[in-house]
Amino acid sequence: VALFSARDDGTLDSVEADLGLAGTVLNPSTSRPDFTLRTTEGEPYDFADETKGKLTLLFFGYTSCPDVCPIHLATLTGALERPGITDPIVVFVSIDPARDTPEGVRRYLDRWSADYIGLVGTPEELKAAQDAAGVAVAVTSGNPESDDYTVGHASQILAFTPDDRGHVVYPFGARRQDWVNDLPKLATIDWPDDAS
Amino acid sequence: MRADRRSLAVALAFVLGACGASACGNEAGPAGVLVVDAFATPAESSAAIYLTVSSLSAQDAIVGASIVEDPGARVTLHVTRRSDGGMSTMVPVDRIDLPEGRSTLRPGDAHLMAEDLSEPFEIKRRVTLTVTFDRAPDVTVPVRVIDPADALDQLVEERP
Repeated sequence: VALFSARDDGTLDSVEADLGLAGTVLNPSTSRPDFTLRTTEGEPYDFADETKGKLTLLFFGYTSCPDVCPIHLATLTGALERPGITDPIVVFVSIDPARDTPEGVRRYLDRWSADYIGLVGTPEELKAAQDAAGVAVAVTSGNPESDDYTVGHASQILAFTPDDRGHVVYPFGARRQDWVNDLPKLATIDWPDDAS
Repeated sequence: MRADRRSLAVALAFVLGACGASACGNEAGPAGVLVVDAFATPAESSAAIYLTVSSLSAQDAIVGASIVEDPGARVTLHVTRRSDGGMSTMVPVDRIDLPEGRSTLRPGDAHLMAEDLSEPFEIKRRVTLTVTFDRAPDVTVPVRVIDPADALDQLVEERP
């Protein structure tokens, strides 16, 4: 993993720092996003406030996603079931308000863990959340009642570390062992200053 | 686990097309597709099914499928496309082209999608899939319904 720091003259100085992470390290890092949605229980959830200073994993998906979402979440869950593993806050945001009810999102997440936080919102609130998180805003097309309904969504899981920065993302395909390797490090790494 | 997978991989359905075995002189050569493995993850109404296949011909393609135990379920073909920005979109397609030799319809890529299931896909439930090809005859294979946490570990080739 190559980290970069800015020299006085503005050029980037490569600092080889082998952090030993399986995830994709971001440089510059991002800030912990500030957005408010509602939980599956109907309570407002201020993401930046509720997760401040805590290792948090954020994922934008939808419950009728049969391919990427369940495998990505289940792989993570498989890692979190290991005894002694670092326990992050896991937040799932449904980006399919036309079809996902709060109850449906709750049922979906309970397949993996009752501790996973499910968030819902209006299309405008969801766009603001995705913009704040710096991910491509999900697009839906077609009639939600019909077969030609398609959903495009950001498929990476974003990790926010206790320094309230987003240093690492996990594209679809991350393995259980990647999580087992990375989670303890994410909780404890003292991140060098990056170019931001 | 590994032994299970091996023994399942032996439960193959390898069919040579009539043209391949006879002198019907098809310029495209013999048609035949071996389905090496098929697995799915549990689902209530929409399930993705993944296959590893070996095709004798680069001109072949998967053009349809059905579930033997659930003829009312609709099986469509999908490709999940991912953009550089990490955007993932599942797109319905008419056919999934097969290169000659082995290929994998893997999670996050091409897959079959079974919808309107009359019974949920549950782990260890018996599911049998008939796959229809453009050229090769239909192949019927068992589908393993597995824990989605194990799905990526099924891929013996390079990471997706």
